[in-house]
Amino acid sequence: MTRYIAGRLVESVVVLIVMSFVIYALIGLMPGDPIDLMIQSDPRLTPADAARLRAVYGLDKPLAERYLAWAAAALAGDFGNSRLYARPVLDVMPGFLLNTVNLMGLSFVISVAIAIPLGIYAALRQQRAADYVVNLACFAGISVPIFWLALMLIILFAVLIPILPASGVSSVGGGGFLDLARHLVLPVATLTIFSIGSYTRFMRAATIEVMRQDYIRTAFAKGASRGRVVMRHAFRNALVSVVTIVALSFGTLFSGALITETMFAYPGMGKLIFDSVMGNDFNMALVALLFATLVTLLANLGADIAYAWLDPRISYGGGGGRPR
Amino acid sequence: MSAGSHAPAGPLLEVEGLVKHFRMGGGLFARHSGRIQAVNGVSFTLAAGETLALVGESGCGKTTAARTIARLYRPDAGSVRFQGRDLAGLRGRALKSARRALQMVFQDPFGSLNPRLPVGAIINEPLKIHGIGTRAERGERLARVMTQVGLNPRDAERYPHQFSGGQRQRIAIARALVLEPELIIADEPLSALDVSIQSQILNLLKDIQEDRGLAFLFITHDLAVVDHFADRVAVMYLGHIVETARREALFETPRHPYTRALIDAVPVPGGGKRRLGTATAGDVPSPAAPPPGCPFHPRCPRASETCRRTMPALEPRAEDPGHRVACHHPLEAPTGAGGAP
Amino acid sequence: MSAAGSLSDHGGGPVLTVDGLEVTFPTADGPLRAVAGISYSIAPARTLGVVGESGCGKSVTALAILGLVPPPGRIAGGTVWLGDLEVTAMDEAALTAIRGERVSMVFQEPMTALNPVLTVGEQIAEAWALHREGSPAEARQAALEMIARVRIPDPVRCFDDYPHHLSGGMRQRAMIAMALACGPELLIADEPTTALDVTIQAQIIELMMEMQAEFGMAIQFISHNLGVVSEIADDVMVMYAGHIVEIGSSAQIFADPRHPYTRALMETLPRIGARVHRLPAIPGTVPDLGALPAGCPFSDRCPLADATCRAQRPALEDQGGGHFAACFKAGEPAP
Repeated sequence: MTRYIAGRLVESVVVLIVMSFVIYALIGLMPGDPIDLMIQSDPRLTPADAARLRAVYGLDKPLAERYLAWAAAALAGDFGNSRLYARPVLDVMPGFLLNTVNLMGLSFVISVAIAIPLGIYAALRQQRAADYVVNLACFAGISVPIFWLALMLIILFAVLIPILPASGVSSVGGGGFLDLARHLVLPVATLTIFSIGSYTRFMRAATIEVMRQDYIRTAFAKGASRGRVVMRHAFRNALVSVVTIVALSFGTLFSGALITETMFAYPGMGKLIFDSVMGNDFNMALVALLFATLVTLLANLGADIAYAWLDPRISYGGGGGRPR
Repeated sequence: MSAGSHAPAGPLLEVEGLVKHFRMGGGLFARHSGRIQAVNGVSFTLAAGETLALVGESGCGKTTAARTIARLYRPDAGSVRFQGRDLAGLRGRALKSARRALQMVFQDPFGSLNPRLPVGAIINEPLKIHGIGTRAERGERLARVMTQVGLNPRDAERYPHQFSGGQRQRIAIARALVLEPELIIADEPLSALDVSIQSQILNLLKDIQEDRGLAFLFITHDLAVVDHFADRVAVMYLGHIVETARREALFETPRHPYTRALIDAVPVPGGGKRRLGTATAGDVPSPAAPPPGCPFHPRCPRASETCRRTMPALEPRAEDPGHRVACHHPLEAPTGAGGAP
Repeated sequence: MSAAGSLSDHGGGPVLTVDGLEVTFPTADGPLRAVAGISYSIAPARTLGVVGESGCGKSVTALAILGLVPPPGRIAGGTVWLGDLEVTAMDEAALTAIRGERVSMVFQEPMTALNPVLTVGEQIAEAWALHREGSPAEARQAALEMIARVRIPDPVRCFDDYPHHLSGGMRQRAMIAMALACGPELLIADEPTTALDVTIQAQIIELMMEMQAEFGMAIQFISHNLGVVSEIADDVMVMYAGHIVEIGSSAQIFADPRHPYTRALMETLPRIGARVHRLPAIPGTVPDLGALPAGCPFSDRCPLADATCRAQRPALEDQGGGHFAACFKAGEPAP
């Protein structure tokens, strides 16, 4: 197993290197460059100035050369400065990252905690009223456009019944724990409503599939009660399917929920990535996207390890599962 | 003799030293990759119009051997001479043309038919693949082969799920027949069918064989079917052939202890309650870790030190050269009529 | 054994009495009678073999005895008695108490019938712990004893193995250990050897006979394989399309089958040493429960059938000595 993990980590590094070039190339291929934006904001720049500035920033060199220069610096730990924020990239990112962790982390934990029991509940009452209600709620949660949901929540809880703030991370002059918490409520609710819908349906489907298996019938035949059959026999098997979905969505956590962040003016990774791409802030965009890639890779590795832990038939040692 | 075959220069099918192993595990950083030694040097011959039954329990390699012979897998070693040509070395168009004379019927009548095609298309597909006949000719052949297997040609437009298990197996047989092959490899064609349907299909296979002079390589675990249908029998255990003989000889005087054990284990309806203590002990070892020497020695009541060390070769019997046994201590006593208690 | 609900002469009465059991499954065209009103009983320490092909209702009968008919199927009529307990009148809680304790079941596919994420030992210990008071250590001990009793070598190692580590034969032994952990009076085995190789099948049949000698339970052994049933059963019951067509002792059924279906089944099987050129085949296909003939369910495939057979359903008639057959032409030779 250790060899397997080591192997996967090596693969991840390779993927990151490849991705760094791909992302760099894609951004570089976008029309316009930072100098164009400077020209837009400062009409007094002459073309000669523009050419000089390009030489200074190295923007007149070919893409591959620029990439190698970036890579060389990155390997030394220098990821460059953010053009938009005029500070080193590694100074800027952590702030946004923390906000995202709060927002997405909380939303993730709450959705999983609600969706799993709800999915099992619906699966056991298949075709009955409770199941229909749950299904309907899930579909609603998945189908509702996030921006509309955000708007409705703002109107309801920040305007009509003004108990929660409408935007931002914290209030001016605030910043204490309670203040941060109050600002998180609406954005988290928006994201959670969507995620619960999705995870519940998967848990329900997985549970239904598992309950049809022969070993469930054996458990009943032994005299196990329904509750025991579900919790001791069905649950762990159903979880294996759900782990896939959860792991995949975990990867998107750190690219952030762009729309939600925009609606709530919440400075997270999603907004950071978007702004830096649109603003041609190469350094910032590159590092933020690579970070998102890294998290996705780690989440998938985590999922694979979770499989091996949940299902003894899966083994990465190369010899497990052989009948003796 | 056989209808429509060219004069054979030698046996129709000659398998020599066939080996097929599968790799297990492996991957970039795995500590070790084991090998499943499915087929370990299998040799036999099959004459035109003859039925050879390849018998054994799970893990003996009979299905892998059948598929390797049909070139669904590439052999790791050994040769498969079909109509004089070695299939093991063929590729591409040469293999395709060799395949015309060698067709296969599989075990699962539900899984071996494409559920999205009407059965007429399924049966006709081999003709299309080999570019045989015009549309009209193909339609005619379809009707003929469907009638021969006991299906109504008007049902050609229906889909597999609309037929019963026995009928689906007939469709699979029709598909195998449509190219008018010389040899059909049938891998457990009866196992998935109900008892009352099995004999219908078995009768059908016999009729077809008599009518067309087909040879059959019949893979099965059911000894009773073997006694009814086969001309010669080869018994496999853990990738080796342990005994091969004409059908009567095998059942009347089995020489290998495993063959004896197999025959004894077959329950006889009306044979009375089982006598305790007669069952062969132990499990079949894993093909990934076969025992040294003779593969059957851990379970054999006659095993000796030689058996643990050396793999016995398949030797012809003095009194009957067609009867070959791979055993250091073959059963010598004349046994009673096979199977009767 | 006896038919039609009458008690046998064994002391203590029959372990199982089934009286007019009817199990239906709702379909778009009305309820399908998977079991169409059958009655039989099993005496203590006897083995009843239940024979039939797919769709005959033999498995559904077994599930009905345990109250495990999968919904939307339901028991539509009749009663089932386990000793003096009326199983069909019990609620789920009461059924949970007797399942595994007074009646146990062993299924066909040991690989899928065991939970892949729990060890074999845990599953056997659970079977014991569900009905017996004891600490986890006592449950483990009980499980180890059962594993040894079913002749699995190295019980301690087997306890910690997962099902996929065991071979098919070993898994089936583990299933039997699980079923017998609380010493039930009745063991129902639904095609327990069908998925096994023939040499392993012989081992399992011997094991079940040995367990019966040790535990003294009655066995209902369901199989489509006449040979296997012949090797283990004292009495045999032949089912077709949800009906019992013949029932009697094993000797009677195999030596002198009276129902055309039973006879056809025996003749249609290839046998070692038989040397027939052509096997007599039963024409037609396994019956469609939704489209059964009005009279005898076998009449559309029977060589002896006449107008009476097609119009009226025959009842089980005594053929002498406890041998019953449901046929107007019982005993008549085939044309």
